[in-house]
Formats: sequence, structure tokens, C-alpha cells
Amino acid sequence: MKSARSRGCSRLVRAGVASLALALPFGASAQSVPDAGDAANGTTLSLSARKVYEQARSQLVQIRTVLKGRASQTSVGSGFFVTADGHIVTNFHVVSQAALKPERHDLVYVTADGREAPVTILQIDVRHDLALLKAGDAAARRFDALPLRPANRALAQGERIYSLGNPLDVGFAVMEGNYNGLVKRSFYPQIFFGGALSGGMSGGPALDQDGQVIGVNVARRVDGEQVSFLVPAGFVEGLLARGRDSAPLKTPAYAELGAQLQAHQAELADRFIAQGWKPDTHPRYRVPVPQDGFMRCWGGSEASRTGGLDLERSDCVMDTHIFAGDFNTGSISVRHESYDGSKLGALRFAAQHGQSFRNEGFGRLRLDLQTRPQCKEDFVDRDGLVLRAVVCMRAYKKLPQLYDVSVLVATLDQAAAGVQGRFDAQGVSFANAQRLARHYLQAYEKVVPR
Amino acid sequence: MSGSGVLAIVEVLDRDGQVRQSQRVHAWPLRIGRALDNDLSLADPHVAPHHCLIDVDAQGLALQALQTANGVQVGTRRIRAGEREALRDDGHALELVAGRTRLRLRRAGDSLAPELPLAAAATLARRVGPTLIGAAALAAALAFGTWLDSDPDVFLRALGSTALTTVMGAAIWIGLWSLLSKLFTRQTHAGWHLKVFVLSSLAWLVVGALPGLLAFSLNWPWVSDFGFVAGYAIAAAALYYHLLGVEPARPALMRGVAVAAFVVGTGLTLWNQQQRSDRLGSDLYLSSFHPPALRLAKPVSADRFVDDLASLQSVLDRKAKEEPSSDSGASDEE
Repeated sequence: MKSARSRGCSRLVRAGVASLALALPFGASAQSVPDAGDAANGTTLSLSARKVYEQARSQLVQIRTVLKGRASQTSVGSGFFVTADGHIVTNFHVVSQAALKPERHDLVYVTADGREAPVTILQIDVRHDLALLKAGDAAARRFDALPLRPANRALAQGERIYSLGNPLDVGFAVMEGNYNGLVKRSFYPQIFFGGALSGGMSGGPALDQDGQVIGVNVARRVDGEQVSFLVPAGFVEGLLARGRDSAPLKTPAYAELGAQLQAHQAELADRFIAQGWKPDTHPRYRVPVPQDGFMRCWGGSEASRTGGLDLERSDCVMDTHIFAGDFNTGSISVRHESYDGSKLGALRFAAQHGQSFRNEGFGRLRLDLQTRPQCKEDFVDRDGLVLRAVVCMRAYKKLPQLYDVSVLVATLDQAAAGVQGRFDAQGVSFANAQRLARHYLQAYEKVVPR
Repeated sequence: MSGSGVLAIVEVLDRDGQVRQSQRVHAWPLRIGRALDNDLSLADPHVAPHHCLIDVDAQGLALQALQTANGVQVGTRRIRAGEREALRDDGHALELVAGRTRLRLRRAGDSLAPELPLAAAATLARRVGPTLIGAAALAAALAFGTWLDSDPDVFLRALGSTALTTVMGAAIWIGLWSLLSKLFTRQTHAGWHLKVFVLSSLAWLVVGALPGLLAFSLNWPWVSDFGFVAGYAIAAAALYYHLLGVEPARPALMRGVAVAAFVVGTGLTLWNQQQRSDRLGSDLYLSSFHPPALRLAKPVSADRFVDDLASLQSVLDRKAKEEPSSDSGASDEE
């Protein structure tokens, strides 16, 4: 299949770690704006933004990951105090280096006053990209904490909200925006924040007009303007309840990461299989195209300009990926192309059908993260519809019992037309890989023409 | 050669087997060496002043090695200084090596091979026929391959470029081999090289298409996985026949070169593939498709296919535990 093109509208870049390096060079030009370093003094902000920032200023921190034994920081994000005992909430991706390679990284928090102290990780929530930290100097002092907005007090669309953090390590800032409800087709609930987020603000709080936390800054879309995302505060509450008395993390958190990814894939496989397939995807076959409960499908058609193969394609991907340190995982994609080779004839069509089936890539992750692919292939019969089926799997090296599975399918019943499909599930158990492959293969059927 | 009293002729051959010097023998013994007082005087520095002697006794001809460090090679046997060896008499000419000089002894009683017809005497059709038929078949196969891989509207353009590449490539290829032949044999043998090129290219195309067809038809993916071995065999055979046009006198050596090239090439390819993808075969999965009627293998049920995946788990788990290898820098695909 030829369709591996990325569309501008489907790329998600993490605020903070991922985009920091790209965004940093802009810091130089920003300095020409007076007082850019301290947004609180800006006169363009509304009165409430100013009030909100003043209230939250002492609860706001920057989280720095520092290379052990070197003074240099490897990434920066934001965070905030949620208890008077010194519990800090941020994103998992802000502290992932310290969580997964603690032998090489230290974590410190810096307040708006410039006070700096070490901080430890108590608990992570990889599925919602959250982490619970505790200030290293918690025994010696009490802290102001930001209150969480109760879940039963829903916000209305369009309500003003304020996102706080330290963008690009420039200085603490408050960004004004709107609450736009929950993100459509997200696997886990996320708040659609109509405001600007930048790298470095990850993990900072988003507050309502009363100064209560409604969510945690997590990501933005780089292909849009002011399309940003927050983790709802409800998950912060859950994490705090689970982890407030945990012992600090000392060893690499791969076991915890693996366990949470296992829980994620179990839910993912169940929900994916439960949502079923769309009807009427091809005049001759039932070609698996998933319902778009938590996926987004794009389609297109191309007529050959050289009198060759005409094709139609469908490409379904999830917006939700689970950030797991060096890579993303925990996502499913389904795509297919259907070919009409009536202008080519049987021999030429077969040659192009085969060429299109060739060279599918399985090299998503580096070889230090995953094994090389292991494949099985055969002709598969689906009630008279003969398919060529290939299943290739790769195992994660640091996450035991998790695999990427890819299923390639080509229909072989017609002489001059056919469909090729590809199903991919990342970070699933072996049993679920088999279950999903079965679910996908069994979706192929001949349709009785009406 | 019917001159009276000629008992034998001793010929000095060059490395291509051409006669460089010939000596009639009217009486035995015949003494061979570098000194001027020999019956046959050689210029080879590896030959002793008085190297050997061919004499006749009750058993027939015999070779006596004289004061020589290198001795004389007769067939596989080396005759050292002072040794004497009866020379076989089976009615065929005999070859000896003294020092580095090849000598051929033709006796009066030896039988002669029948007269070879002159090349020009063979009909033109016999000479160029196979090449012409092969060239026509090759052109047809190339045109078919181009037709198969191109869209209808651009077929003629693709055909033109295939024809141009093939003719240019063939001209350069045959030109280089002819140059080599000219260097070593003083003849270009261009016709021979053209024939080898045409026939081997045709065989290459046919053998290149078969493994994919077989693999698809019978569901034997390994056939196409290792189809390159057949291709290498064709290439090695082509190399052998081209080399024959360069060094016609030493077919055994050339066969050795071709076989060695085949073994080394195949071995290196397998090793490279093993390093690159953990597998010996060239393809991760079968991707050679043919019209549905050519599929003979029976399909399995989806359930059975998915159940069979279970065998992958132990392999994957074992490989996941292996230490990340040194090639962990970048992924090999994409």
C-alpha cells in the first residue's frame, strides 16, 4: 500500500519535552518585547487573569530534569502544589527521564520566587500522562496548595479559563483561553482548551475564574492555532488518592510503566472490539473500517493519470498515544486501499497488486527498543473469499509481554481488482494481539450484492 | 609431416597453447636444456643447462632427468634429477613441463584428431542462429516484463527506455569482455560474448520469474525467499562462459573461479541478510502475486491461521531478552 503519508491535521506534538528544543531559538526574539519574562506585569491581561495569577503564583513551580553531576538541564516543564504536605502534580512526560533513568537524572522544582529544591516521584499515571511528586524539603515547611474543582461542577462551553506555567523556560506566565468541552474521539477524556500552550508549560495547572484547578496542561496541536489539551482534574484526584503516601521511586519505573500499559491495552482491545465495524465499506466485500468512537478516518480516491490502477483509500488512526519515554505506544490504526485494475487486465493487475503489497515497513521503533519483526503468512479463506494474510510482530525489549502487531491482508479472488488492508496495534499483550488479528481478519467477507 | 626419418616432433607451447617453436627428431636420444649444445635449447631460466633426455629403450620411450633442481612434470608425476620414467604410449600426444616451459611430444605413430572444419565453412545460420533466436526471445521477454510493470498509457515510452538501456548495457558489457579476450587471446571473440550475454540474460529473466510464481502457486514463500540463489547460479555460469572466451586453454581453472564466485556471493548475501534482518531469506513475506487461477495451495481458516501465531511468542520473548545488539543505532527499514 502506498498510503503512509502524514497529514498536517493529525500530528500531535507534546508540549514541553518534545517541542522545547524546537521552540527555544525563539526566545531570543521574544526578549525584545518589554517584560516578556514576567507575564504577570503585562497590562493587556484582563483583571481576572491578573487576580488568578496572583492567587496561584506561590503554588506554581517549574520542574527541571537535570543531568546528574552536570549543571545542565535536559528538559523543563511546569507543575503545581496540590497539598500542604508538598505534593506536586505534573505530566509524566515532564519527569519521564528521571522516572526511567534515575541513575542519570535528578529532578528539582523552582518556585516563582526562584527558590530551588529537589523533588522525588511518588507515583505515575502513564495512561493520562500525569505524575505525582513530592518536594524534597517537605518535612521542613508547609505549602500553599491549589484546590481542585469538584467534578460535579461542570464548566460551560466558552467559559474563561487560565493556563499557567513556564513556557520555554522564559518565565512564569498565565495564558487566557476558553473551555471548549471534551475532545471528540479521544480514547481517554481530555479537555479542549481554546488557548495557547507552549513547550515548558506541560504539567502546569489550568484554572477557572475562581482559581480552582480544572485540568493539567498536556499538549497542543502544532498544525492548528490555539488548539490545546488538558488532562481533567478528576484524574489528578485519583492519582493523589492512590499515591500520596507512596514511597519515592528509586529504581527505573519500567515495571510500573509496563503494568499501566498492560491495563491500557486490555481496555483498548476490549473497547476496539466492542465498537465493531462500519457497514458498506466496499461494493463487493466487507472491508474492515472501524467505528470512529475513538478513531478518526480519512479517505481519498485517486484515478490513475496513466491509464493504470484506480484506487480508493481509507486511513483510520487514533489521536491518543501513550507516551512511554523513548517512544509512543498504545495506539491502533486501520487502513486499506481498494484497487480497480480493469484497465490493466489480469496479469498486469497481479504484478501491480504484488508491488503494492511489497515493502510494508515494520521499523517504527529502533532495534534497542524492539526486536526485529517475526512474521507468519498464509492464504486465508473467509467463506469463499481468499486472502493473502501476513502477521508480523515485534516485542518490546524493556516492557515484557507487550508487542506491536501488524496484519497485512490482500484479497485474491478477483483477476483485476482487489483490496489491501493493514491493521496495526501497538503495545498489546500476545493474547490481545491474536484476538485483534482474528477480529480484523474475520471482518473480511464477501457481500451478497443487493 | 610425412618427411622420411622423422621419429617425432617436440613443440614448445606458450601459455595459451600456441606452438612457439618446434623441433623435429630424427634420432633418439633428444637432449633438452638451456645450454647451446642441446638438441632442443630453451630460454627458460627455470631450466637447467642440461635438463633432461628423451631416449628409447626396450620398453619404448623413456624420460631421464639430468642435473636439474626443478625436475620434469609428466602428467601428475614429477621426475627428479637422476630418475628415469617410461613414457606412456597410448597413441596420443604427450605433454611435459620442464621448468616453466610446456612441451608437447608428438610421435610418428600417434593418431590424429579429424580435421576441424573452418568456422567460415559452417553455415551462417548455424553460427548466428542460436544467438539470433536467443536475442529475439530476450527482446520479447524484456518487452513482456516492461509491459507487465508499466501502465497502458506509458508502455511505449517505458519500452523505449528499456530497449535503450539494454542495448547500451549489452554493448558496454560485450565490449569489455571482448577487450579482455583480445588482451589474452589476440581475438575479440565478440560473437561468443554476445551469445553468452543473450542466453544468460534470457535464463536470468526466466529463472527470476519462476520462484515468485512457484511460491505463490504452492504457498512456498521460501522459494522466492531464496530465489536469488538460482539467479546467482545463472550469473556464475555466465561468468564461466565469458571467461572461457578470455582463457580458452584453462577451462578447469575458470570453472573453479565461477564456482568460487557463486559460493562466495551466496554466502556473503546470506550472511548480510542474516545480519540485516535476522533471517537468511531475502523477503520478510511473500509479495509476488499472480492471477487467482494460478493459486493451487489451499487456504486455511482465519481461526487456524491466528491460532498458529502462538509459535511466534517464544521466539519474540527470547529475542526481547537478548542484549541490544551493536546495530541499535537506527532501524534498518523505512
